[in-house]
Amino acid sequence: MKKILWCGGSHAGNAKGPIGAIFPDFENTFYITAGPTNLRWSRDGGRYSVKGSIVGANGRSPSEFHDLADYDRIVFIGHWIQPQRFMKGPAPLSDAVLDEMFPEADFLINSPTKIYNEVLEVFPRLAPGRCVLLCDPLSNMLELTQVPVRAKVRFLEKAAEFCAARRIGFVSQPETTLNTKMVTKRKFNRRDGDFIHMNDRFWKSYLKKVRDYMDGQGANP
Amino acid sequence: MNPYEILPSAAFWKSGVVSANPYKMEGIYRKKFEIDRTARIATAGSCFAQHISRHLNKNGYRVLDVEPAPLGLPREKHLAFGYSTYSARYGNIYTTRQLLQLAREVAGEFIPENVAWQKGDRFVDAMRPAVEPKGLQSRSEVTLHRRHHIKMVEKLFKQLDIFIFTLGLTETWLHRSTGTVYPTAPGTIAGTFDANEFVFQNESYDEVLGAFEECQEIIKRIRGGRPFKVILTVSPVPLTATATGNHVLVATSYSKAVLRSVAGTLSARHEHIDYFPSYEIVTNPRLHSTAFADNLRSVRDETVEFVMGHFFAEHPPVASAKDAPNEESAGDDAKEDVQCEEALLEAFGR
Repeated sequence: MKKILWCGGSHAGNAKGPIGAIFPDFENTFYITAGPTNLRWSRDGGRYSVKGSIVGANGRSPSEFHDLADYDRIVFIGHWIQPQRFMKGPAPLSDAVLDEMFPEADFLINSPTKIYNEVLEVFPRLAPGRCVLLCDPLSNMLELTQVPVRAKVRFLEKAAEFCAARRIGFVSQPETTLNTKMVTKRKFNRRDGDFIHMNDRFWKSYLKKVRDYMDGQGANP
Repeated sequence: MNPYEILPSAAFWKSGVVSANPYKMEGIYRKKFEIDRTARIATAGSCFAQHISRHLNKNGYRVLDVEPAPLGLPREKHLAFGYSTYSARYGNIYTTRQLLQLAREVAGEFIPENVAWQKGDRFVDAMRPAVEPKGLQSRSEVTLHRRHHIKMVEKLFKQLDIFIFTLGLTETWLHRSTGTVYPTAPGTIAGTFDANEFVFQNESYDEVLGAFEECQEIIKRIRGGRPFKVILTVSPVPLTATATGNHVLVATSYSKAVLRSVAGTLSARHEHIDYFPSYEIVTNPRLHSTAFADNLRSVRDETVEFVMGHFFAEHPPVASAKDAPNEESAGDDAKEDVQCEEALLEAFGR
């Protein structure tokens, strides 16, 4: 049976059930590599233990280790890939400004608000060609809803370029989950007042796209 | 006995200038009013105003920024795109006529003509040509950006308690038929110069003064009559070039004399207007032009430091009063963290 290591935080948690439904023929292992605890740990200078292809000892699970060589796929779900960390509100943004905001080299690794996305830097290096990135669902909070659509499109384009340069597979959320402002339709919100986390219907739709992508790539990438 | 006998040393050239410490001049500035630590300050004007804005921020004053840089734009790129420079992204406002025009546009009383200037295959906003150095894709994109900018300036005018403005120039270029005024001559940064379309104007004392007075009235009207205070400065930076036909030194003297006179008149005429003499501190002959860089135009950083030292001697640095936006963001982050932790617990039970 093929093995997938699902890495992330709350979005991975929300997707856990749908993952079981969409990937029943895989051995699915979850590793909490994002979430607030890991973010604080990383900001405080915490770094993964890396020995060969074995990684672990993050802020959330100091005694947990995984050998990336054991997995056919390593999938990052979300992992602080949030345009609202880069731009908020309705101000129009020129191409030149957007280019400066999203330099291909590292904009998803070193992001505003002191995010060092170590997992995105280290894991693909240890497991080349086997990693896949799913962006965070585009939050329907007002501040991101107001951001010009063009800027959000550019963010995703640059994220795709970033992944291509690192041989990371990139799967954006299905267009059917987005409204005309290019944020996630509210019917997918997990609960009232939470504009970030999405429900099972959303994740099933997204994971179906991921499954199609993986199947299209062949069992052995 | 004569009337000069009782005057302080600052009243005499010898004691007030020749033998005085030019870096710490006693009595050169006496504030007219207090700046409350919670006062919302707006800055605008010619390039010297950038320094004032930066130093006020550094010293804890609440300088408004209604068009902040996007979070993802590196700090070192802000200036190049006109962010974090003034309280809005209007670039340099050199003349009172330019300021008046902006206020009239905000009030819906004026629509500037010929706003999108071509630069190669790109377009720039002629009213603030330096804020997008690479230009925008189309004329309609210029309009879109400008519409947002004007909305933000309206917000600024409504919010501010104190307006700090640096008077920079008297020379300006106008659109002949509509009177639209531009901060730079067409064809310098962008656009094309056509003598039939554009005309040079060197503003008189009355024109500079009148424009500022009218501008104040418009801003007050936008604010529903709510009063505000003003601090004026005159830029000590000489003209790069003059279109008057005079020698640039003569043109500079004219320009600075007019602006300084207007600032003096406004300060004397209105209780709510103060004048801060940065111009005099920088151009003090005691400094033998060492206040300037080698080009004898740019004001050295260390000069700005001691100029602002005079300001802060009267308006002491305050403990930061910056509030709302940061606290709101912190609140959002905390809420988001709780939601994320809940999702993790729900899914993984740990």
